[in-house]
Amino acid sequence: MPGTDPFSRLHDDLVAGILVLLPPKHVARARLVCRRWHLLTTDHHFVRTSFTLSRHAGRPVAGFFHNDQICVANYYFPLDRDAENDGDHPYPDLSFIPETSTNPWSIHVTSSCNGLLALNLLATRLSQSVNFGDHDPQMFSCLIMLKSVVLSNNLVMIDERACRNFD
Amino acid sequence: MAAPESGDGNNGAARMVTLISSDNTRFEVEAAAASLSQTLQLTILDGGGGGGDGIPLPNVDSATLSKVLEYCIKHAPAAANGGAPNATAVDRAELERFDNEFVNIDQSVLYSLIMAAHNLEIEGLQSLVAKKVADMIKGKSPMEIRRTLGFPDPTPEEQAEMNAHMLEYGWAYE
Repeated sequence: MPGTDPFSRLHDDLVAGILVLLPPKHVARARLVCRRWHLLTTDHHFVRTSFTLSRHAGRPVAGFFHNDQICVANYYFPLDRDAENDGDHPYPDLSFIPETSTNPWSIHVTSSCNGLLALNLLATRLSQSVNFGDHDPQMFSCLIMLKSVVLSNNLVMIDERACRNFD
Repeated sequence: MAAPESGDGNNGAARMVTLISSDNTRFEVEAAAASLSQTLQLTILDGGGGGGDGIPLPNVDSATLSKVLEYCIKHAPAAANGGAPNATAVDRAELERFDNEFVNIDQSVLYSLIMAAHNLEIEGLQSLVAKKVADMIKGKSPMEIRRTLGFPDPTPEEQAEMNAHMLEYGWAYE
């Protein structure tokens, strides 16, 4: 696809420099435009810059989870370095989430907002060691403050609730 | 371009430099305006660009360069005042009006400008154009964005990928 339209003449840094100016919700839309934009906007540095900019625009985000596709790990990145130091926004304690197989990080945080997380279990590991009854649990939501985990069959519902505050 | 004006009392006539575009057009411009470019500023401080020499800019064609210089000439006085703390509200409103009109141009020119601004390190121009393009994207659906930017229609494979991601980011479409 590159090379056919004038926009594709711009190199990645410049495209990212444009997309990072969009509010988070519009970034999510831009993510669907093409493969290149998806790669650019899911890059860790991009996400950090994007959320940091939106903090300054009055949309506070304490931090974000970044799923590393390669080692299947969740990393939590607090955006405010001072808060990181004085312990206001410590790494959220996720130890209450049931472990799946030997690797607790086979859980993907798909979205998070105001202490509510939407989680996705990797199906392969799931079937081995976690028994949630007769469900085929793909998604569950969890409240960090209450340390509770709720099964959900309805991803869209969780996502709506969790992400409405992005605006 | 502009004839040398008698400067505002600093060193008499303002110092001029010559820039040469990729298609060999020569542009004579005040050093103060050209110095909005971080890249050129170094060369100019070293005494380059004066006399018959000129500074070659092999990555910038004449159409783009004249547009870049239009921006620089307009913004040079404010930049010389160090971000213009003493600029009047009228001056600032005038610059804003100029900026709005300046980016009201064809898309391919916008992209040439953003590349030139990046190469020449003209921060203000780069963010002005980036913001303009971001505004063109904002509030549109992925398909509308593709059409706006003149992307070719997605292949069936790309369409399937978009649909899959749509599930993941459905909330963004409310």
